[in-house]
Amino acid sequence: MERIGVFLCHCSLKAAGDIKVQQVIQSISRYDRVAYVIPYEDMCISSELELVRDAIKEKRLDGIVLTSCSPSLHLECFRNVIVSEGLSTYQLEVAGLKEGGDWNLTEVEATQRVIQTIKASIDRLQHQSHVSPSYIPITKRALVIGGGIAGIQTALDIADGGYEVLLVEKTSSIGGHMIQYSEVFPTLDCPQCIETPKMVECWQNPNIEILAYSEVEEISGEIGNFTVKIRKKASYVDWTKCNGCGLCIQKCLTQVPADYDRLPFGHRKAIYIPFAQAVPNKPIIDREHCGYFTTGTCQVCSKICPREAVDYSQKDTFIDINVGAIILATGFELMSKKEISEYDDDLDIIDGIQFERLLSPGGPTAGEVLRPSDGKTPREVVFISCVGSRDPEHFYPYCSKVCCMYLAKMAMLYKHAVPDGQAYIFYIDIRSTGKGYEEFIQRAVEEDHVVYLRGRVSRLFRENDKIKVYGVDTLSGRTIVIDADLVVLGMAMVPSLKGTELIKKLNLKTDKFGFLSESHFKMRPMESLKPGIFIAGTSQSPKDIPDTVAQASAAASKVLILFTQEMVIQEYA
Amino acid sequence: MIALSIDGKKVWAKEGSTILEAARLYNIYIPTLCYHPSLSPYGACRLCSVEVVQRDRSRIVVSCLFQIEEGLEVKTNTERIQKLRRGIIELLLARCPSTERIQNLAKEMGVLKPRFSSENEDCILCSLCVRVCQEISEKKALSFVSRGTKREVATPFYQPSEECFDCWGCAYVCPTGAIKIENGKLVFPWMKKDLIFSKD
Repeated sequence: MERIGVFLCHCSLKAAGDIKVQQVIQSISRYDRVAYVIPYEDMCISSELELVRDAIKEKRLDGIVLTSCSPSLHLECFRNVIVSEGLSTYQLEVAGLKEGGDWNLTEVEATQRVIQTIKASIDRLQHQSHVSPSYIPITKRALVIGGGIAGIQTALDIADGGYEVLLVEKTSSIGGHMIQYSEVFPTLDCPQCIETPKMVECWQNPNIEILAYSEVEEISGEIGNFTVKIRKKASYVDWTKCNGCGLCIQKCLTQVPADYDRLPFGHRKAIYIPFAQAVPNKPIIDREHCGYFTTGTCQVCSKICPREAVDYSQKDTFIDINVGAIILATGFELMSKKEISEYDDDLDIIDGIQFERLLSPGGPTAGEVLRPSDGKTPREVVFISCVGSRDPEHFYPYCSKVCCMYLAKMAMLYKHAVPDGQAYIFYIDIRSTGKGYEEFIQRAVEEDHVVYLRGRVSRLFRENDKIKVYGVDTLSGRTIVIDADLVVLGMAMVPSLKGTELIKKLNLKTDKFGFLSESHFKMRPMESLKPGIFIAGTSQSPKDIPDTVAQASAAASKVLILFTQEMVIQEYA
Repeated sequence: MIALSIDGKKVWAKEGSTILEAARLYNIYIPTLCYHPSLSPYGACRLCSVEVVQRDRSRIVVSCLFQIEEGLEVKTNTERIQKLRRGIIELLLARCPSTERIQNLAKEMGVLKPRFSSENEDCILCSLCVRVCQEISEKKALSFVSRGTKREVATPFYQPSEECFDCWGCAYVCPTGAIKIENGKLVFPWMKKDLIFSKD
């Protein structure tokens, strides 16, 4: 490379601090093999790029160094110009002046740093002149991790685009949190009606393979060619033989508290399907409680099964498979109320998902609202927003986004179930920023007479049959004491990836709360920092269902774009 | 929902539930040996006896069979009940001195040594195995034979049952471990006794 042109973008120089532009130009001009140095106003303006084009022709340049704020944003535009002028992509080097900089430099220091950065780029350009990009064929199969509504939507979109999808879910059924809910805001339709068809569609789609009760064990490789190892956990039921008749469940002699509902109502058996609409509708054996595994004396289910599908000797199996893209849709968990000492043990202080199960027609009480402690109908219910969220001193500074809405919805549904009951909602402020959300809140207040109290709860404790809630109404300036029958907490959403083995194996960056970091906060919200790994749903940040579905479809379209190409360029690192 | 009180605590349970089911819902402890939630109640062991008060009159009923009524007052641990249970467990301990579960229940109730002469039985005739065979596996391979002191659980004519399909549910529910599995085969107490019938 003999004739290198250096194009200095003023905008990026300004961003790098107080720079003596003339000194930069002089210093760079004297550097080896630099044939042309010129400052421009704003390099990203298309007319300015035309000037680069002209300069390449006029000055017969064979190497280009551009300064810009961030190569990750501008590299593609610059490359297009270079390539159209007959140079290779590696005859261009972009010096990112805004990135990795210390912003508290003196004028001299900042100028020196800019000069060094540009010189480094010039040297790098000379070393990479012989490089040509390598092209790698793409495996056109996607892996979706997480079978909630985000994973389901992504899988369906990619499959409808004509590519194979593996949908890995750690529990025995897809559906995620959404299927646990009673009715969803702001339209009050039940997830059983709107999500089940999608779950069944996933099951029916020939391009989707659902790997339920499975977990990702290992991931290696790059965009276009990942190798994943998936552990199919032993369910002790041969799902290829099982037809889901449920006789084993009916006959099982071991009862276990129903952990799916997380309420002290009802039981499940040691061999069980978590909920009625499960997809796949196949049972698994809970090894910890099963009579065969604990005492060795019971094998009722295996003998009673008309298909001989129960197999106590089943072991975990492993699948190794290549995929071209990975979508992380691992979702959220609610912060445990055990983290807050005063809520710890009381059965009548419950979180949102427990109350959803109480309201759900498919729940343990068939939609009847009953107090967990004594089965009585609660007459006064207090809902508390922002438990754990927006509380930087104790827990999380972020807003969990959906609590305002779901507490309003629950209060509304509670009033529909118990018309003579009273619902109170303690709030900091009401965040109803979605389509139709504000109207929904107004409906809760006006039609269902939900009492909104602006303020936080200072204390709550059990007094005989009731839970005494001490709060303050900051609008009227009064302290308020409510004798509540039931207290529902709007707990903070925390990412379920936080602290898991999977996130360590993926080696992906998260923020300090465990939410996945995106490649660009605003411009690439569905791409992770690793090319080929995409993000959907609440694994990135708290989201409601419409946002989750939108992001899931967006991630799917990114995967489809990738799959329309035959080869992927492997960047020279 | 029917409201009643158990040991002074007001509780609610579905119509048709028994006192024992209502008590279990609220984690109120009542000892049992012959109760299993998947099987129909039988009332064999009588350990779950409780005192109920109706129309100012108190009487003793077995809680696994007695269905709840509105306003029923139940006492699960009165002096009278404790004495009754001690009597039952003392007899059971004399019958099955080496059974761990009975030993534990006896210790819990303060019975250390039975006043009666020991027999070395395992089976307490609770009928759980018979009910499992009838209600769960629907094979009816097991039933009670003989009467009075000779009553025991057995297959017809003490012959290996053709109906039995080795689900081992009987062994699993057996509270005293009288039915065992040895070398992959069910072993009943009668198999170890000298019988005039052939066992093969």
